[in-house]
Amino acid sequence: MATKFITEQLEITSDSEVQGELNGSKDIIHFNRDADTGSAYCEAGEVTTVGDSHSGVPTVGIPMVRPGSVTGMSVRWAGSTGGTSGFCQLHTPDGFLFGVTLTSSVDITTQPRYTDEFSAGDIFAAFITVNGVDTMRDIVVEIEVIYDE
Amino acid sequence: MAIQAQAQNIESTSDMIVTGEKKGTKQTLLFTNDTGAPAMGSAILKMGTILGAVAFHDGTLTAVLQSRPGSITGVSVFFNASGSSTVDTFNVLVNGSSVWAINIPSHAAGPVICVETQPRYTDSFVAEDGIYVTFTSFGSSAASNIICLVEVMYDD
Repeated sequence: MATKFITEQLEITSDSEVQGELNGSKDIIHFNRDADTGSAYCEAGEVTTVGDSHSGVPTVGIPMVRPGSVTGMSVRWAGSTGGTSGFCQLHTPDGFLFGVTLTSSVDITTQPRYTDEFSAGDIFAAFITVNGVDTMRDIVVEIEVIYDE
Repeated sequence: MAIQAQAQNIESTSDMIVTGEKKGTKQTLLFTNDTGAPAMGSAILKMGTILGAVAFHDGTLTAVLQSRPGSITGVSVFFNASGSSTVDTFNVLVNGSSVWAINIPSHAAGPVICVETQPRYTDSFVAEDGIYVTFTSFGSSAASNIICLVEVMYDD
């Protein structure tokens, strides 16, 4: 089948409908954790994501269906004594892939597609460390990805 | 409103902005089970902390109801195996009927990862259909920390 290439930005002011495959779609991967102290891997559904907190190599994680890029991360958390610094990192078996420095109870970062890429079958784990807080709670992490196919 | 139809592939090497509705998008559904399945046993995976095996008023199992029609286009699976096996199976079910059985390749003890994709329209569903996932161990290996992403592609 012939392919029509469009090199300019395409803006559709009405609806678009794809009846074939849509490659390059966005998706959100969810992590959460009820409460913990210091540093912890977040959970995926009801599964505790376990990893080595120092080497950053997760042994359990969410497996990706297709290759793609990580394009965003949002983190929301609460602390028992009000500490407002730390970091949240996305870990794969190859180590640290992407992260955000925590400066408040809500932090969001985005980056261009293809900056941090992954392959089908790579597993994701979300690791969070908050400084100066006795207990973290109500942690919600969302990872935005764009699939290549 | 007029419709401009394009019958060939369209590849955009720049951005695409849609200010109306974007129909035909992909989305993944996360299913997990902490304790998993025993050897020679089965487990229904859960969405969040919701128990999968709860009967609805119509007698069907609890499932993730779909808001739109679409197709199941991909499945990725992770679990920790207690031993080696050659016959473990994941089933994706629509309204209680298996539509896609994924046979896990033979594996040793430890983490197991399996990814499969299929063309759109192969396994379709309609709005209000319920999707859920089961894992069955037919061998001597138990599974824990089961994590499964089911990819769907919506038609509208």
